[in-house]
Amino acid sequence: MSKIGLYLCKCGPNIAEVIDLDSIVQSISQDKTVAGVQIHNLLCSEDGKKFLAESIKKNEFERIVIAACSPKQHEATFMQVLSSAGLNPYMMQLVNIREQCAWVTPDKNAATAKALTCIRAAINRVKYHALLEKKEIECDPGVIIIGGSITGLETALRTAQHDRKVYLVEETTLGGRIKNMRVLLPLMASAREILQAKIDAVRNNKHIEILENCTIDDILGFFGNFVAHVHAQDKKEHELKAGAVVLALDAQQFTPTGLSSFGYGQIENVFTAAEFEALSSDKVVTKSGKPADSVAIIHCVGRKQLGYCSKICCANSMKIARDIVSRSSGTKVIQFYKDLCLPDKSYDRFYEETQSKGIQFIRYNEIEIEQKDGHVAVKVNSPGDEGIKITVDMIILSTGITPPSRAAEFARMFNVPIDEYGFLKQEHTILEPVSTITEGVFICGGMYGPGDITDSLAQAGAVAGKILSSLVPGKLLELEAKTSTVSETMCMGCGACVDICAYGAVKLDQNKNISVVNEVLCRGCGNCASVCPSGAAGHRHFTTRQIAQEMIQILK
Amino acid sequence: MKTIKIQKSPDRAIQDVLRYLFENDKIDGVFSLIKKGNGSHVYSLITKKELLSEIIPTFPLMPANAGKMVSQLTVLEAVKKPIAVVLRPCELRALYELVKVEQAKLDNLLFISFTCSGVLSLKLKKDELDQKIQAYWNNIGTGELIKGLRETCTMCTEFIPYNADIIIPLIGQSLSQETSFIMNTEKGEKYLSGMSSEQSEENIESDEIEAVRKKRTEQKKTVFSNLKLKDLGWDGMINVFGRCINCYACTSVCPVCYCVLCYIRSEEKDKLPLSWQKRLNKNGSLRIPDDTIMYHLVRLLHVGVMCVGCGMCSDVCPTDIPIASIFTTVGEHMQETLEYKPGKDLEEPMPLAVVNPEDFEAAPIETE
Amino acid sequence: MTVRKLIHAFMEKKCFQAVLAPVRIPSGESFAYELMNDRTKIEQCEPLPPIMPIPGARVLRDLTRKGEPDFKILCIMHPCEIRAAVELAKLRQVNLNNITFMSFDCPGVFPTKDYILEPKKYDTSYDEILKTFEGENFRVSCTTCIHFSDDGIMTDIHIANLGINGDKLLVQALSKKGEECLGALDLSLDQETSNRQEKINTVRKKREANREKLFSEIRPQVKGMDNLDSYFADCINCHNCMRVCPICYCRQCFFDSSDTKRVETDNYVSRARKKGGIAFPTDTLLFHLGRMSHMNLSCIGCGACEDACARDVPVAQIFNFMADQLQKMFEYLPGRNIEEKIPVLTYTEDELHEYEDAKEKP
Repeated sequence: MSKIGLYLCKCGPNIAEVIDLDSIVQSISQDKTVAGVQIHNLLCSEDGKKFLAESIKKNEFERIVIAACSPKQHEATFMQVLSSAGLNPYMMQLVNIREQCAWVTPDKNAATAKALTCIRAAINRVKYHALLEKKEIECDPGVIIIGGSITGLETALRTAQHDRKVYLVEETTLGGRIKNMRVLLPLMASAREILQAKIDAVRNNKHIEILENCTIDDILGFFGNFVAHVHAQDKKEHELKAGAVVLALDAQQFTPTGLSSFGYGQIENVFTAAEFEALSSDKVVTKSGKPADSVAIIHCVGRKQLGYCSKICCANSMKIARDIVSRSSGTKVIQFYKDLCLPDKSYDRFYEETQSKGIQFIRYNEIEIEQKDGHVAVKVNSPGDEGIKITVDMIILSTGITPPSRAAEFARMFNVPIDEYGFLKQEHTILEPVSTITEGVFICGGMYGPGDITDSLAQAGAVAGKILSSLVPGKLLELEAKTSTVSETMCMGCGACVDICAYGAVKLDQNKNISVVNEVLCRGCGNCASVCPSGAAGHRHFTTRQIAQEMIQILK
Repeated sequence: MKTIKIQKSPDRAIQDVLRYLFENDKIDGVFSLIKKGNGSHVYSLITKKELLSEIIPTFPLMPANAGKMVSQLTVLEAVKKPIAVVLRPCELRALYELVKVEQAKLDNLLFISFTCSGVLSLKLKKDELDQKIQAYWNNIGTGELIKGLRETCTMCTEFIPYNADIIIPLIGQSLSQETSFIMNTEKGEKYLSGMSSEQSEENIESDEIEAVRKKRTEQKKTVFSNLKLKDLGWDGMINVFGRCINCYACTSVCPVCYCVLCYIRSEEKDKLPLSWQKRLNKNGSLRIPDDTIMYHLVRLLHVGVMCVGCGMCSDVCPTDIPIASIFTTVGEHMQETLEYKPGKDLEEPMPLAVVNPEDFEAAPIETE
Repeated sequence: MTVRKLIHAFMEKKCFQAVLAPVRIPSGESFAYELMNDRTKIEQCEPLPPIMPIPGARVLRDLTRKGEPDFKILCIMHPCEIRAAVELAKLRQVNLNNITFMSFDCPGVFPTKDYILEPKKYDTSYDEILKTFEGENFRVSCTTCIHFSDDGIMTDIHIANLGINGDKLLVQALSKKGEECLGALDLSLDQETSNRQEKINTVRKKREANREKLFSEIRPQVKGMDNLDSYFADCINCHNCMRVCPICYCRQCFFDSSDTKRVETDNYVSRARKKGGIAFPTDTLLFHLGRMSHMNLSCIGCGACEDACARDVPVAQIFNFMADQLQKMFEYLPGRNIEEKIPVLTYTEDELHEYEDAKEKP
């Protein structure tokens, strides 16, 4: 019979005020399986920990029950004390008599009775604890970046180092949305030049492996130990190992196909801003090839449908307007806006400069595009001005920004929640903008909301900073010791546990026709043990016996 | 041996004895056959004295082998406080065998048993059962083999529970008014003798017992010759076990089949496709599930020496194969050859676990 | 054309290298599945036996669990056995590659125990029954079975024998595999002129009525612990039902394992003290309810459990009753389609709210 020691913590006044610890000591002393019971004022203090370690050693206790606060608070603390006292840290059960007893009711009798029951249950349980070994592996400091956008390129450049491998996975070719732009805000710089410089830098960096025309199929593992499976267009499969994953896909532009008043898809020469920017011709021409003498740019298309302001489209529209005028000086450009959103400190000047180039700004309440004699007409209701109708050669719809195309899929793949608009959720809007709730998975670019290129590059820097500081080469990762197990003799290979594992930690051994647990990936959630009908799948620290023994005491 | 007589029919008398033991703090619980409120007959561990009025220890039905049940109770550790166990001779013998293979612990158990006229088959329907019960009690005195009894009971010659602490003679008694409790062991005396100062001397052996023994021995010969086991041969075995559907119920209820996972169901017995193909090609046809006869023979080999002839296996067989008769008969022959009596003596080691130089001489071949 | 001739034709054309079908055992009073590649032996098989001592899915499990056979096998089984085999395939216990199913319209089977005592009598009555699908003394599960034909099962070749008399055989190819096999034969095809569908509907209506009646009788019998206790009063915990069940695939049933059957003595004694007594073998009701919760979604209602019960406990009836409701709840039909995942192994965030929130459970 193992010697069991019980320690009751007063937790200052927190527990002692409500629970009659002396009566518990008295009741427990009648249990012959408990070798000793002691009370301490504050076990988690330096003095308390010292007391605990010395007491364990002196009494030669082999299994420990501690009645104190929540395991979330101090289980790790006490496990360390056990280790320092020469005991296996899993030979302990921490009973929560604070949050679950003292802090639940002012009724002292009820709280004490509940505490006693829970303590008895823990004593029963700890008799069946097994010696578990803590395992450690060295983290993989590498990074997988999904999305060859400018953000992805920047993140790759900032994280690639001699001791850190970077994979850049892109579904098509490198560049992202900027590939289809001519000029960039706010300096009207050449998009191609800036992009090409980044692409060249990435291609020349020997620590970055580029996988173009590749799609990611799945990802397993956790921070410091990810394994991703990627397949190329030619079906070739790659397995990539890294310690962190960065999602850096570009956001998309809203396509107003359902909005009939804008005539998109129905009336000729109506483009979205992205489509217009992608037009290859240097001259500004209509679909038929004729030069466009007049262009109308409509702001806020689809604003109501999206439900948020995409922050960059007003300035982007001005950028397009100025670009048109610089390519085709005779073309008249009118910008129809609802509210001007100019959130950057350079944008006011940008607006003035735009106006100085003869670009007209008309405010509108309602707007409708019509076909008129081979031209397009804009019918406008402006505040204070009823029913303007203007005929132009081309209409550019400045629509809002929507989440990247595979956002929902990635959200599921990486266990990251999405918000009501379909963007991925940041770990914390203020405090952790580029992390997600999944440790080791970072987001930037268009992943969590609209932003311009300066935003994207700043986010790339933030992500790089987080990775470089937390994923230090040589850092050791502690693996879960309380993992699941599958009995070889009992398992029938039905695969129920494989299907239900959320971590991909259980796989079928095709030769033996049984399931096998990957102890590195296993998080010890126990779902496999509960779905297995025969009990072949079990949990090291929640065996049927341990649970049954706890419950027997509680139900006594 | 010292005997106490109680002026009641057996079940009531046993209830009185147990009540006495409870009231005098000699026992903490009783293990016996009871009739539950929902009409089921089942072995139970009872801790409340009030429930004693429900126990029916001599009722001629064996829903499970009590030896196996006591093993389930005590396989990990012995009971801490005394429990009186009322069971049949073969069940007690089975329990002794289980102790030898570390599957039960007898500390703190007081065994009460009786000379046994057998049990009725579990296959009897409710109305048939009611009819047979009357016939059963009517024939206790003469040991007449009534229809409906388990076949193994009709040929059982070990119906005296030599190892019980307290023996109740039922065979040859008139039973409606008086039941005797023979204190067979020191333990039995210690527990019971305080109940009454009026004690007589009684022997278990009697003329009626001898007559019953003769009848059973005759029946054993008849069953043996009917089974034609000696000349069975391959075809004979196919006939006997042909109906088997490999449900392994016989294994599940057998008291001396104690393996947690029978080898026949283990992973090693799963066949690879190539193995099936080979066997198919050998004969042109192959019955699946296979290894049916082998299963029975191997089981016989494993448990034959311990078989106490309780007959649970036949009763649960869904296709009415007379397993119990076969196993009992062959088992007894094995036991004779090895000069071993299962359940007789706790100190007598399992013959298959003992190496005896004499064993290497050829065993005598029966010429009967 | 008879079924035997059809099999012969298939073998001639090398569509299959072996046949898995029921064969009468040498002593004559039962049947067993045999895998055969010898022609003479195949000629002796009885594709439509009047009893089902072991559900064929179990046989397929023994045969293919460790991998697919190297040769094509024609597997002749009742519709319910095929459905069970499909469920087992979903659980990776059966490999259906190289297996072609041949099913037929099934009138039901007799209880094995009854048949064994008087095989000849039942054989004669079965010949009649096959013509009309009307008869008595069937297994209770058979009288309430509505998947006795080709609907709701994933089969390859179906012998539509209900309502077809004389020397014509109505054979349907219900899958690509089946089409390929039938295509390989040089058969002269006739127009289908029977009123078979009508007959099927008549039988189905009757069975549905039986089903409703039975379930309405069962419902009050199993409501509440006391009633459940009475329902299983005769059970001796031999676990026959579990062992013959085609779906139960665990090597060692949890309710036979050390976790249930080798528990601390104190556990039993304190349970006894709490209620005054504890029955041995322990956990009888737990076994039934636990087994039900594990396999009921895949329960195909074959009734093998009740057939094998040593004490005539109406196990199949309560299991069928529960399966009917449970499967309706998930809109799941076991054995219908191998792609249809067993509900317990899928996670859908939004489901079963009507059961969560209902005050009065449906």
